[in-house]
Amino acid sequence: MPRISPAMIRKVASYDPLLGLLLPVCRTAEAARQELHWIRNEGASVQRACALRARSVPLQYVLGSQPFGELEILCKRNVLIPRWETEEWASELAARWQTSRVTAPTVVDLCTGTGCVALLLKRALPRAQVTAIDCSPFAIALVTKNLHHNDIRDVTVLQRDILRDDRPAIAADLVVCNPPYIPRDAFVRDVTTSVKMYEPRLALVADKEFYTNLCDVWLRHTRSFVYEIGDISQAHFVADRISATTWSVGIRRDSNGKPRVVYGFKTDDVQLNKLYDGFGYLVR
Amino acid sequence: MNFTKTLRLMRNTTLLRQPSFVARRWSTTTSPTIDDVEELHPSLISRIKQYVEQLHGLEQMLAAGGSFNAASQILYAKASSIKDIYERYQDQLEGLKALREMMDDDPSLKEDAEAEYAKLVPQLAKTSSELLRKLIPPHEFADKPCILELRPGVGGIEAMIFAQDLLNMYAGYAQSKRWKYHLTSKTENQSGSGIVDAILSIDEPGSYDVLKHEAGVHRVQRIPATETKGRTHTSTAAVVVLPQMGNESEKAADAYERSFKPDEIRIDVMRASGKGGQHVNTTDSAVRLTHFPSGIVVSMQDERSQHKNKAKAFAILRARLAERERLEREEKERSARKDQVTTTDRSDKIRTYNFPQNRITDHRCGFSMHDIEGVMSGERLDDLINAMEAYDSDLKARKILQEV
Repeated sequence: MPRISPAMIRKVASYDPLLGLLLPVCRTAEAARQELHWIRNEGASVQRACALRARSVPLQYVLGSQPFGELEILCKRNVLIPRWETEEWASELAARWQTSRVTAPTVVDLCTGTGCVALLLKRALPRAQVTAIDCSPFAIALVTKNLHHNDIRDVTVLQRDILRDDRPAIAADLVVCNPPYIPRDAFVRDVTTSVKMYEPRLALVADKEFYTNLCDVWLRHTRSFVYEIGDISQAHFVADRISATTWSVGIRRDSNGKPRVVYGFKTDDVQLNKLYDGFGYLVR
Repeated sequence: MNFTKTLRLMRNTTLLRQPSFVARRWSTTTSPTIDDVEELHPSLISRIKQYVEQLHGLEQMLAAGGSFNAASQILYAKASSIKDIYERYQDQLEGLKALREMMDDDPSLKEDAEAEYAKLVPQLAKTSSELLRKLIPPHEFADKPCILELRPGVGGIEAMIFAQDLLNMYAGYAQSKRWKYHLTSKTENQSGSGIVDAILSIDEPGSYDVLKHEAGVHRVQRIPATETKGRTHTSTAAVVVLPQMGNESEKAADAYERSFKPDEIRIDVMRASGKGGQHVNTTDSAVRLTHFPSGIVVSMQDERSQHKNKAKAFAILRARLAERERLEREEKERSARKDQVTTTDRSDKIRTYNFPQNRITDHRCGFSMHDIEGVMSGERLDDLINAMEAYDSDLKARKILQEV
């Protein structure tokens, strides 16, 4: 990443001192200007917001929300901020289930965080039975707030540590999950400063625990699954552990070309074959 | 009545209608003489009579206890105003005939009658041109709300500042009319003075019809704030007026998106290097639409929500496609008729704002006024718009006369 010279900061700050605060974190003058425009639009204390941004506090924590599809998701410290990659696959998934014949599926959203994926699916499929699960009390409190904020009802919210809890899993048509997927050794190297400093490590750092948990526990209780991934090796890990005779497994890339999702469905299910046709490319 | 006489009547009517270039061209020829008074063409009269009959039918339906729907309400309003003007036209025509008889029969009254006659002729001409204008078919987007796109032309930062001034002018105009409007997108210049582009949506139905003649290149002549030696600069800004074909809601955009074939349209979002996902937290929400059959590209980055940016971009694309189709259709019709009549739709450099002289001139209709401040605040923009509208309907009325 190119260094931003003090001269550049001085130049931008001469137009507006607040832009000088935003430039180091936004990297380009154009992005800084756009962000200042958003901050002004939200009507928050502009000075305070820019000062926080200068210390790399994520914009979503400063302004308190992040758009997600047609929803506005509230964001607070200790809970992961929804990413556009997640928004992309979740919107596509919701549209696919909307046009399918299964109008009232049972959906389980693991590691729900803000509840963004669960809420988006519930909004798209009003008759679906959606359960959102997270182990963090902060997340659980925020999901409840978000339900209220977006005027969505009838989503079951459970606080449960799915890796350690041995209560029986819930039978579902679809299990979705955006688990922590950054390996411990890659955390310092690959993660940007703002994320490292302000977003919860609990929601970021894990190796393959959740993919193991998927194969060992949730596969027996569901007809299909969609898990976000950070690296293609995680998709291959899932594909290798799954019985090739009963499951079809695929990988979906995001519009940045990165492998972003591993998904699977029962091979003998005609409806699901049609539903996931073209969602990604099958590897098994 | 023959064709040349009809034309002569029209020349006369436009003579009295300030402002118009026809008026300037003909004002040195003659004052109206007795021979110039002619009645409207019978086919026009029969068209007017159709309206009167329709009005009659509507009134009967209302008397019988029926009620109006939106369409018949519009028809009623139009027909009754046509009927009013037509009645005035008939009265004035009868008056003229009576006066002429008087002049021929009674030499003692001739002088008075002639004076009266000379007074009535321009009134009749005015009435008949009013009537003609009512018969012009409405613009196909006449009832639509509109979108204004503004972009600086030549002149660097001064042009950007002028584009900003125009944006303020149209916002002020909408405000003075109490129309709802919102800024769909705006990109400011680096230094914060002036704009690189802006899109202003005016949500009032029918605003397209009012503002359609604003499209074109606007020229400004003034001493810029950035000028140190006191020289006058000439800069330009371009205005595009589009019809709003749907709203900017996400639902409307989704439905519209599905009306395209997958290979017709490409949606690009900001791509970043690096691992993405949980590793970074970006706020990029810019969306770029490319419509391959027409080559139209729309970029939108105003909102934090990518979803909303996409909806806005689709609304703009839809408006641009509709306007483009209309222009193509008009072009086709024109070449089919081998029409030689000049049109005002695509003329360049439509207007000059001269600050040192406090003057604004519309080059299409030759209308000038002296109140820069009033126009730039939007409050007196109506004067220019009305002048252009009068000029345009004169042209269209001439076309109607040629076609009958």
